[in-house]
Amino acid sequence: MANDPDQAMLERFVEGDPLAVEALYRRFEREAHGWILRIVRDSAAAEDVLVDSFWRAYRARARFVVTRPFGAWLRRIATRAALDHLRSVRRRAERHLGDVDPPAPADGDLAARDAIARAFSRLPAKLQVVATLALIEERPYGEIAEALDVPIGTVKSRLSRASARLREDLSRQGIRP
Amino acid sequence: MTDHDDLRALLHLALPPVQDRPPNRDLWPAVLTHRPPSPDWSWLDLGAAAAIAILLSLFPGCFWLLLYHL
Repeated sequence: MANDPDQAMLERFVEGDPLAVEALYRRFEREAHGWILRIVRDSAAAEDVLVDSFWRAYRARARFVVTRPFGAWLRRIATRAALDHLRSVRRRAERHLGDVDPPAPADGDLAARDAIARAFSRLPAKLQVVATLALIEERPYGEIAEALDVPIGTVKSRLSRASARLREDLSRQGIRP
Repeated sequence: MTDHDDLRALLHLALPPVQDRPPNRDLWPAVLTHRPPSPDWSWLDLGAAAAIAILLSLFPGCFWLLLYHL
């Protein structure tokens, strides 16, 4: 990654030097925030997840290999934090609403968009992340695989499963892609 | 990715791609004060704690062995 800092700064980060930690935060906050926002699609949540991600990175700093790209490492941590956020949102929603959807809006287009968004939100978090990044954000499979720390084949299979579930859910509601 | 083009077009109607932008405020102070929520105790944790408590009450001599392993 072109933005990657020099090795001396990374070594200071691993040692816990507060100035290096802040410098790395300042350098990567925008990139990490943008990535998290793509996954969680909510500004306030993206900020919370960014803070949590950087805190996790700080806690895990001893495991960071200074010869590896920092940006890619931080992105993997941010992706896991974003996934955890999606799972906790799902658990909260299930506790409060069960499987009952709120009533759909009366307007035709609006109702269809609402139904699509709800079908998407019903995907398991693991599939939802892949579908968000591949179908909505149109990120390359390789980039998604690296962020999730899984092989490209896994990304493709999760995308196929997400796609099949979405098609099934939408067709039950009379919406055909 | 042509297999999914129809689905992608449909999803874009409801969920357009987000615009890349920086956070609305400086979050560094929040990083400094961040404390993650303490994890809930699982049944496994509670079971292990109960087992240790029972073991220690039955065999107090095990305390030193446990302390050594901690």
